[in-house]
Amino acid sequence: MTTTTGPAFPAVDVRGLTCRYGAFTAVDDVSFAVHPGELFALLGTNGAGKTTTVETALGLRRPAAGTVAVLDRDPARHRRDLARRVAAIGQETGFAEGLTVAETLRLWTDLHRLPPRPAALDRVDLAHRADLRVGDLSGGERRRLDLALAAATEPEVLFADEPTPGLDPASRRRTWDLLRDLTAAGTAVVLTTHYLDEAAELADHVAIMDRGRIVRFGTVAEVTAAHEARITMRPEPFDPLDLPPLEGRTAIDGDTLTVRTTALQADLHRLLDWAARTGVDLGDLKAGPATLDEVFAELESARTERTRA
Amino acid sequence: MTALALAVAETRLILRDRTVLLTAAILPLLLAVLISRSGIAATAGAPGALAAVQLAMLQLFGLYTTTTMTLAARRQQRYLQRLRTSPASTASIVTGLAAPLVLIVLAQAAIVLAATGWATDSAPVRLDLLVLAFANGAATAVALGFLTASFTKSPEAAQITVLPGMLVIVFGVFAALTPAGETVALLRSAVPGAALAELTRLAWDGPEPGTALLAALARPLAVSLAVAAALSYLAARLFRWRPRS
Repeated sequence: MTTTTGPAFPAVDVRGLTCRYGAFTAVDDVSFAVHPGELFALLGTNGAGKTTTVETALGLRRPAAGTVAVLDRDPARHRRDLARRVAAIGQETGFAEGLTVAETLRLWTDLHRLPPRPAALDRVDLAHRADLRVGDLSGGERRRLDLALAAATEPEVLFADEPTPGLDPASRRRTWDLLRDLTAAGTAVVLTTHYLDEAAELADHVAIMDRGRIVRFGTVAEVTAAHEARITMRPEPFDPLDLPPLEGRTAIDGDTLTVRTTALQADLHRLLDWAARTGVDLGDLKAGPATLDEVFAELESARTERTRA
Repeated sequence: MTALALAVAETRLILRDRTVLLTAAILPLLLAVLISRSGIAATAGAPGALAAVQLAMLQLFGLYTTTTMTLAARRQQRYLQRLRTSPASTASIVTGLAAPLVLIVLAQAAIVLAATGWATDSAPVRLDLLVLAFANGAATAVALGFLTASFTKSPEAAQITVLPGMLVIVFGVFAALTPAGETVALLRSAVPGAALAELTRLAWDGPEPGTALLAALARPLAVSLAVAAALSYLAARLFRWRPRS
């Protein structure tokens, strides 16, 4: 699935993973691989199975079927060995509220038998809060501390489960920069997120999960290329009957024309040619491939239709 | 090393939490002093009985209830879950979390029992046996604390969930101080708290005349070690590191 070179085995190798809560199947036959230096984004709505997948990869629950290997080991059986090399941030772990930020970082590096690394707080802009108790931090600051602890251990694999909700734009950017730094240093990152722009910005590969299954997989370009591109404009003057024949579907909303097409270049060329011949002004012209948001919305819409049916 | 780092962190947390500090440090001391002023020694007939009740109360509140309460709080904050994702072993985590409370209660016991010795003009005949009684009782109290925390959702809920355990320990202590036949004595040694009381009284007053120390010591020690091991096994099986989702 990936092209990155590195060790003979992927950093994270999930094959046919199935997880159940009683009769409910939360994860259904999921497979993916993540290599060192790669950022893999798992996208999906709440309940899609992302967190269960991450929990299983962390060894916190055993699969009903399939296998998970992290750094070529079973995470459920080699929890302690892997804990030195794997970090996790996000919804699953918390802090001792009564310890200060600096004490929390020191405890974490002590547990990993590492020397103190106070500079980790600088990387997430928390150095000025070092003496504050964790219980007094804001939600965004707690997420940054979580990231600082993970970065301080220089992990080979990082599971980042929705790391940026509640962060202001600057902190979100800083988090992205830190994730990029980690992948540049060779860390394999598994990112689960609701934010499609985050996945589009950071991910080498994305997988979209729906009801426990991976329904789309590939690079962002591959995933979006499988969906219709969009051309929007406000032609002036505009007579819909004058439009040239197009391969895509047209929709008119007020004075806005939208064309959804799998032949972006050809249809755009026809429209520009038509405008030049007829003297129509193509106001607010925008053309581009589908975004992850649109892919996601389309999948959601299809699911709603299926549910209604 | 990791257990020490955890113990240092846990000590800081205890010292910064007024409720835990009150339950772990002030309340047991207060109770121990009240017991010494209550005349229970005269009722029981020997200073060893007073020392046994005091030590049991210190461990009941300072170890059993506080362990349950702090574990429920740390789990609610998902701190236990973070520790589980660290390279620390289960033994290191348990030791790191329990050691500060054990040391606090050990210090309290030293003060209270020294005062009891001074007030009753007596002293333990076997100090080493007193240390053994403390260690045995502490292991039972901590294991029972972990077990009770398995069924305790929050620190507030701990005020209710510890009640059965408290009743059992109090029953065990007073049953141990009541004369009984061999069969009853064997059964009561299995009740948490009873062995602590029996061993403490034995350490303070010595065995009954005509009874060898080793013979008097063997039964409560063997039975209570088995009970502590069983409680530890159950706690290890049932303890949850994550809050229920």
